[in-house]
Amino acid sequence: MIVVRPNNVTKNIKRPQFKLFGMIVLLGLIIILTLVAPLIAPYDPTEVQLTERLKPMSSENLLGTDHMGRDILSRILVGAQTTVGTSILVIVLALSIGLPVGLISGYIGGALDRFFMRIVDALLAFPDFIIAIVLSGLLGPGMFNLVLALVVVKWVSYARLVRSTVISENQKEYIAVAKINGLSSIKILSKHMIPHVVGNLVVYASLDLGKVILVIASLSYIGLGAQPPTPEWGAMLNEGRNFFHNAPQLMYIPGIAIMLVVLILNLLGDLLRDRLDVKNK
Amino acid sequence: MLKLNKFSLLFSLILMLLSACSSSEGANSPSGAENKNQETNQNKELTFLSNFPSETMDPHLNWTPLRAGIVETLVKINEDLQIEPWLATEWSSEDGQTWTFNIRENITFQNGNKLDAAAVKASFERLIVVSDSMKNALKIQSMNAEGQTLTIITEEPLPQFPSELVHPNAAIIDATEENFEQKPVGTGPFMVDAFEAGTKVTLKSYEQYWDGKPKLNSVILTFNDDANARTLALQSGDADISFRPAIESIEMLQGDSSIKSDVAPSSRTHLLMYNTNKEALSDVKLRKALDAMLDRDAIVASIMANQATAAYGPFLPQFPFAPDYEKKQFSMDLAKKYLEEAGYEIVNGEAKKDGKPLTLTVVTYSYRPELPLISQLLQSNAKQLGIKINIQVVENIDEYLMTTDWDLATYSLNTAPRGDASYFLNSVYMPGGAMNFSKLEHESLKPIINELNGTIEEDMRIQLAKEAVSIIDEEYLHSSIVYPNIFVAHKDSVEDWVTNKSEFYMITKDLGVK
Repeated sequence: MIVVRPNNVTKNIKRPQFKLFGMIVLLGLIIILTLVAPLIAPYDPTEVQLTERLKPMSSENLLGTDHMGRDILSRILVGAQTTVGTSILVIVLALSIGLPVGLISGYIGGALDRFFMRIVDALLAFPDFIIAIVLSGLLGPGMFNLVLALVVVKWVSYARLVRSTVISENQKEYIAVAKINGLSSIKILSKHMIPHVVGNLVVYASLDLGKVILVIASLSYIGLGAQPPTPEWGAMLNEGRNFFHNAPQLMYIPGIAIMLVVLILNLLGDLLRDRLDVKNK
Repeated sequence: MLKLNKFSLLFSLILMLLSACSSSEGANSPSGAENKNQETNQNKELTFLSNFPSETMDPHLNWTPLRAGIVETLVKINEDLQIEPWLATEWSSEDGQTWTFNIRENITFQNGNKLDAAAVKASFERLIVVSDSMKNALKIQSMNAEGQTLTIITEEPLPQFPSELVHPNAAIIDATEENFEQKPVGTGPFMVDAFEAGTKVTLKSYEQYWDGKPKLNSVILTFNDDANARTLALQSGDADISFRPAIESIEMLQGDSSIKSDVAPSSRTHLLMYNTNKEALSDVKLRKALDAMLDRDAIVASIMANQATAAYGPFLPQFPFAPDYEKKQFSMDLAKKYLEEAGYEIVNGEAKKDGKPLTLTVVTYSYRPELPLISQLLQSNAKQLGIKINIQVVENIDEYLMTTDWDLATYSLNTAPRGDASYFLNSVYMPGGAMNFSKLEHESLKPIINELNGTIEEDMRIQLAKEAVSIIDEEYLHSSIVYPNIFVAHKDSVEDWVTNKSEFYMITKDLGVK
């Protein structure tokens, strides 16, 4: 017989499921805030009002105003659409290239596999950030080119991940049985391979999302991403740089926003890995 | 136990950090200052930090050698923006085509060679070989050197010829020397000791300088294109003089008693350029509407941190050739009126003409950080009238505007660098001009500028220049926004720093340290 003692209650809360739930709620909150940002932003994030510039935090402007008199809270909220929204877009696009390439490469193998994997090898040989800088530098600054550059960099690791899972599953007996029973390749891939791949992909994508946010913010910081006056957290950091003596909030507010979102994503990724990763089970 | 360990580790880490901070503050700064003082007593040295990196020390291609006092020109421009003798004592011309210059006596180059008319001639001969733009500006046909008298014949009458010689690239070097890229030999108070391209130049004084012994023994010129870094270098003591530190830091620097800041108006103007070849912008009423949206006073007070004056014309009003500018009002109502006169209707927050919404792109660049901000202000104001303005920030503005189809551009240029109107008018409004980005050939403006180029008599030139500026003004061919100040901050130990309006002369023989 199990006696329920009070300290078991606290133990339960500390279980990964509860933390995981908490993190998912936080991420959900961020996504909802991002989606409704234009509706809840108290001011127009691009409206310049020079008489109102560099105002400290107040009841009118909860986070103060920037060097052009724009409301920082509104810019952070709408900026989330650019920063977080673009990052999600990058991950989705990278997944939609990486997943099929990985599946085909791993399942069919042969010359096609070698062809794809040499491209992957070549792209993995360089640091992500450098390729992204070179590409967005060549294509010219702007969000579209930035997304393009990041997708080019990012799809390869997904392809690699999917391919290795497919290859290891492919050698297992149940796949052999499925093949003998005459199941079509498409069915095998969708019924047996994808469910195995998804867990790893979700873990990887949630960790990667944090990295992509940082890269987008970094590239915008150096002027290759969002163009003024588009609110974007990295670009806001860059614009605030000149004022860090008089108005440090111009830098630390977007900084905190980036940090919080990336922290939540990393914690979420870790917890998901604990739960989903086969190796840890 | 584990928790305790973590905590104690964190605690000790913080302690270490704190102790590292305190020891550096406690020990380094006073002794560092003492060292510096002792050093300067024996060896008067100064570090000048600027925003213009130099890839070469060739005075005929780069401005730094003149700014650093390595070389000098025949003619210079003084603080009243008038030209005055420098290496030449006097000059004259009957017809504006044959010019006679008397070269100052008893001057030696830094290698001991004598400066005479033949040396000046040799220097000019090299100049027009290496610099096409100077060749086109000077239009020298032939030169004749005799003792200290140099006669120059130009290809056509060139009344502004002496003022063209103020150009930093027209500096006189000893053309018999070699290695101009590393160690040019000039007549100035300082000579190159060591040069690292794009990083720094070390100068040592030239004791036999013709105008008196320089006060400093050596000068280090370094470059950093980040305005904040220039402010911080001054505060940390890495630089004695910081040229154009961050404009936003002016209040903070003025509050620091060990730092003096110096502000001078420049002959530079920030402009909004219109591409009048574009269908929409060919209408003067639209240009007027855009001009009325420029809140010049607010730009001065906020974006420029009061370090500028509102500009209503291309030249500073103090210049003799600047007409009385009509003061342009910032008024959104007026802008709306002009916009409607131009045939636009504001429907559902969109300015439309013949059903098509008005969308413009303004090209800007971040080398002058205030220009993107001015663009954003214009964008925000235009939005109120339903005009959509996109901002494009580019790296190389000159190349971009020359090669691309653009609508609007913010630009900054020294409109009268040599105290003469013809430079601006020719380079911005004449076919083939280096800054005529819209390749404009204006029917009434072109003949006036042509006439100006052929006129020698000073009053007549002033009259013609005023006429040309009035046409530009009436037709809103561009909008002048502000005249920015030159802002320089230096330690209070620096003596006799003069902020030069033309940005040509920086390190002089009189500059010293306590």
